Amino acid sequence: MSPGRRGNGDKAEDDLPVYLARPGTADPVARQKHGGLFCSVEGAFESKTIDFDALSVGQRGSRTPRTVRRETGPQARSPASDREIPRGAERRRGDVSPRVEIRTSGGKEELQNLPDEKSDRLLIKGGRIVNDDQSFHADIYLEDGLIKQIGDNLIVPGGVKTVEANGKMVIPGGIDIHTHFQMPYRGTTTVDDFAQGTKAALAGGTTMIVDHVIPDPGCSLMEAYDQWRQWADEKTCCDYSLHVDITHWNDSVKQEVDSLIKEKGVNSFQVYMAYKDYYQMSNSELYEVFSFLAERGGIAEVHAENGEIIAEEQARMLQMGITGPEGHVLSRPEELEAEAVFRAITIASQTNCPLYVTRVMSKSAADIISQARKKGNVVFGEPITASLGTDGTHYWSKNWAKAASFVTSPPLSPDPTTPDYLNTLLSSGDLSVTGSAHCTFSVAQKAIGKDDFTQIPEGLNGVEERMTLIWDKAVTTGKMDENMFVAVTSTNAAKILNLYPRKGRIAVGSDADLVIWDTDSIRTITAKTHNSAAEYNVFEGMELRGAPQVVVCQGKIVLEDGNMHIISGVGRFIPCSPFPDFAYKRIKARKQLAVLRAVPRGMYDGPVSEFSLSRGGTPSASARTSPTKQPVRNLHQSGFSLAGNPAQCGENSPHISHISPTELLTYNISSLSTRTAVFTL
Amino acid sequence: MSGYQGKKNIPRITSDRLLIKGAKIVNDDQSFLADIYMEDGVIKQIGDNLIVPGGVKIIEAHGRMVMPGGIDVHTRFQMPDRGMVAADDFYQGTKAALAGGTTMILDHVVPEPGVSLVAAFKQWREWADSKSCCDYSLHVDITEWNKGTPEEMEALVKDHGVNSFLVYLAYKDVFQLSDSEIYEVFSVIRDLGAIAQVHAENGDIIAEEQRRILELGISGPEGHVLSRPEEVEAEAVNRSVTIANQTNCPLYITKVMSKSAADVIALARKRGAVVYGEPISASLGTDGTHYWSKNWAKAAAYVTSPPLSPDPTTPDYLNSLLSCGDLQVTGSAHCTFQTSQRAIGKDDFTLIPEGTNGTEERMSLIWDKCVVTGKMDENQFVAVTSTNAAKIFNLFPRKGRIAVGSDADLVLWDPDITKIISAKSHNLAVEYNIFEGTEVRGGPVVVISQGKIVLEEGSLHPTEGCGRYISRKPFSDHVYKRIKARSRLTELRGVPRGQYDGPVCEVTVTPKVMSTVSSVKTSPAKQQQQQQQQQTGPQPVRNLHQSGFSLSGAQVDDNIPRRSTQRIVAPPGGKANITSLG
Repeated sequence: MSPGRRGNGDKAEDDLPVYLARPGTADPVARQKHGGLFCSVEGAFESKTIDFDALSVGQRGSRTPRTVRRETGPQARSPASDREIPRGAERRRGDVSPRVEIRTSGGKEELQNLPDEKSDRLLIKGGRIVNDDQSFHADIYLEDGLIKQIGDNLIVPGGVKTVEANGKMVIPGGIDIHTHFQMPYRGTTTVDDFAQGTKAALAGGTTMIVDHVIPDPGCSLMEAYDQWRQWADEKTCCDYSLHVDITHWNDSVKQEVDSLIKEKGVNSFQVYMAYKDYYQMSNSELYEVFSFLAERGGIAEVHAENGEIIAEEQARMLQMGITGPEGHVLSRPEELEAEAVFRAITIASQTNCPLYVTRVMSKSAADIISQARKKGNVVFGEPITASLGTDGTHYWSKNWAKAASFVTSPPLSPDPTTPDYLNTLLSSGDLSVTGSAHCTFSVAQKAIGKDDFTQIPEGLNGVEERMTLIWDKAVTTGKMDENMFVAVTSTNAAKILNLYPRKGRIAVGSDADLVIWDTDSIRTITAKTHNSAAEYNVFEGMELRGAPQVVVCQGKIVLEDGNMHIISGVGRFIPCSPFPDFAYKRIKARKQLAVLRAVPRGMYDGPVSEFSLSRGGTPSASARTSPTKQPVRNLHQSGFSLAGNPAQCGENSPHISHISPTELLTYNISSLSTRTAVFTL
Repeated sequence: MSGYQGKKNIPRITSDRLLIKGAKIVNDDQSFLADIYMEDGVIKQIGDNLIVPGGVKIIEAHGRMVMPGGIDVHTRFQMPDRGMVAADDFYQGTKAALAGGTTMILDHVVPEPGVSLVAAFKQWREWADSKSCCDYSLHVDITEWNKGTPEEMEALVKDHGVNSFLVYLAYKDVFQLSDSEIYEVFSVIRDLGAIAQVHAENGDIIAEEQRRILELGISGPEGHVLSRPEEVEAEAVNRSVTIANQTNCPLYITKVMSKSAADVIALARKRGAVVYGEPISASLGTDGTHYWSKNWAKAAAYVTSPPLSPDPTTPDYLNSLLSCGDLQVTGSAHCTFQTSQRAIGKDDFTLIPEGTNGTEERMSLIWDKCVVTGKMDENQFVAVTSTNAAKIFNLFPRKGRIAVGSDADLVLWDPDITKIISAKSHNLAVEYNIFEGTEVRGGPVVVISQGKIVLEEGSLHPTEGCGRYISRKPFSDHVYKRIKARSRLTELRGVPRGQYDGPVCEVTVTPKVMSTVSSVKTSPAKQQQQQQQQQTGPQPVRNLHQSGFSLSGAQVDDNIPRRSTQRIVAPPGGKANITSLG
């Protein structure tokens, strides 16, 4: 298969239209009508014709949607398949995983979860490797948690465990760029700790998480960072990294940020524009934080909501007697989110700092981001599982506990078309990465706010559902292809965090974090079966297509056939280095351009009015008859020129000063920031 | 034109009875030929073959256009700034306005922080009453926000005929208000039925940028525009639109200086926000390339905030938006300072007093840039220079329209006059004119203010102190019809729910504690959630899902009695209750 293929073509292998994939078998209840005037002989076209009924429903149309597996794999009979697939391998182990076989090459059947020192040697055979740029067929050999070889007919040592992928997609493990596991909240902690949370992540095909360190205002960032490291090192089952939230700003915080970047492997810092009087930062502080991060090569993340207006609105809602969870969304209308996004972009563009907007929850916020990207701003948007998968109508649920379980900030939009819209923007590249903002509280914890919605702890689940949900909403609907899927679930995040190509890519030398993706499995999300400790799942009842079949993390199989083999505490902290190319190449180029120059002028030596520096007092008598009228008049005679090449200005040659404004300003229109433009030449 | 006795240049028209014959009357909706008879400063009759008393002064218009006198919605005459006063006082300023065809101005009262709004208002009244040559009204700027301010605003609206207040998003630590303060101001303004004006620039960012630019060693006027990039203006416009939408308050953006800010306004209007944009003479007529002039005094003369955009295509763009209705009114933001006054900022651009001229040039500039170029017709010209302003500020149809009963503020407009704007010939007290050398086509030949001819044959006869204060009522129809309808719609309701009686997690009151409790994975809530409400299912928690949800608004279960909600009634002149509207 040609590596550059995209779009529909690359589904040919495992996502073939029914009529190609399984002639004759697609329609268990064949033609409905028999014997009519225009009907052919019964059964005449079975196994021969295109099954339009099945097509109209979807690629796999007429099978019952709950079918978890299919009796045969499409690849096995696919005429497009260029790979010999052992047919015998398919019909084993009835229920869950029909087409992936794991065995050791020695022929001995060996369960991988048994203690086995060789288990970190792994060969994935016959998979279709899907990176963000291309898909191709090759075998992958993993050893010591790294990808050692990719290609056909690999020469591997004996005793290697082999996974037969049978043409299924092998994708880089997902990176959930936004989690809040084990987050302390007013003396309690979120119900999913690092063990539970990363277990859920792995179950969903995510092999790396990036958690947020939230120091309490006034506390040391470094201490908080150490605390989070300690918690995570004890418990995580997959690799992790950390964002640090800047909840207050002063010189010592500045020092700490500096050493976090230089010594601790943190390159992204979040600031809050909401949570007035608590985490919220003023515009000037944002400006300072952004300038500092731009200097040190960090990524500025923002929680974008206008906290001041929210505070006012909350007071108004409570005054009106609205105390339930619907008050949460009513007091945080999406305009406030969009406004804050707009402001953050303005400040970031002013300071020439790359911006990352966490939790894009509404259409308007997403629109602002995509507009800014069109204007050339370096800004990334992160929709989360919840905003891509569900909407805010549930806030009006009569069941308080259910309504409360949806409480997060910014809130889910009550507009039910929002998820679809965000999925579209994600597919088009206007939004770049996806997180889950997984932060779960039990009902009892949520009930802290039973009489006052402002007290409800905020956060919802999503780490487990993220990959499947995006596959279902964006790939099966044809919005994005599998390569884009890899980009938004893994590669882009790795690039932003400067972990690429160690993470986010299947390549020799990359970490052995892989997922064998089953595009056909269908499962129903429910709190009964999820791996989170929360009682509610915001996606309850959704039927999603596509799921990980095998998850390989650090070179070990952690999920196969629905069985998880996880070890708490094996997760490593992955340090992120500053100046990620993905964001900073452009920033650096702009920095070189945006040099400001003053206009060389003679000293003004005319008269100067008296004035009082303190603004105040009554006006003095009218200064209408100023004596300056005559001497100043002749100042008109001198020309002007824009600051450009000082040498040229010095020459004062008329044609140059005449041309330059136009040229400069042509730049200005087409390019990015006024400042950059005017001073380019 | 001919006087009654065939004499020209009568210094004072003794009679205030005036007949304009053969005029093409141009209103914002139509143009038609008719005679106009006015008496006592009011238009008494319009039509053909009017029956008028004898001894009336007659102006022969010969088919030329007569339009409502211009209304300059934004001036700052005689404005105090750090112990100085703007060079054009109310006499000089209104004289210039009349010379340009503007017969009414709306000036801004800028109370120093700490000074009462009413006191400042009275001070401005005193200055204007003694000097103004044409009718005027006053906006009041809210420069600080405290407990007494809402009462003062109410007093201004109810007793002093003010229906517009301006807040500043810029001038950090001087005039700037925080977002929450603005939210409160807007709520009060909405309840009073007034119009919220904003000076839209992000003061916080500007302060940072100013510091940075000074650190870079840039101290000239170019630093002014460098420290106030247009993005910062657009951001503030966007923010104020958001807050205004939130509070359901009509918004008026003063001084639209850049494309991006105008775009934000146009976009907001498309989304249905009640927002008006006011480009000024300077932004419609010139651009910010002059900040780089080698002549410091010239560069400094352009200093105003938000600054003129260095993009030379901006004026054209703003004129287009003005023509298509995305921007509605035009002011001049006339606030002039002598070069010696500007020079207090000769070593530091942040100290340069801000403001540009434009009250005299406004009408001619717009005619030249918009009507001559075919962007707008004469009716739209009347709309943007006069009628829209009158409508927004509730002066319509007394001002802004030629109709029986309206004030006799008229302009006989000659579309063919050409004139070169120059500081040598302008009616201002300053040495620089930012439109220096611009040739404009179109200008007033006769200007009638309060039924008296004040400009005729190029000679100006203003009467100092004859300008009246025009008080304006709140709840202008043009603005508040929509606001009222919306406030009736946006009634919010809570969801009627049973009391939650499950377990509640204990919390520490002060959330500053960092200690971690051991993981509460096995929350007790799961088992104990029995009697949620009516249903009983096999799994206690599960059945919580069964209840439906409802959006506020008309729902199938509307018959179920709801929690007491607030019925919203907004009587004109309404109650000063911040929370009564949605």
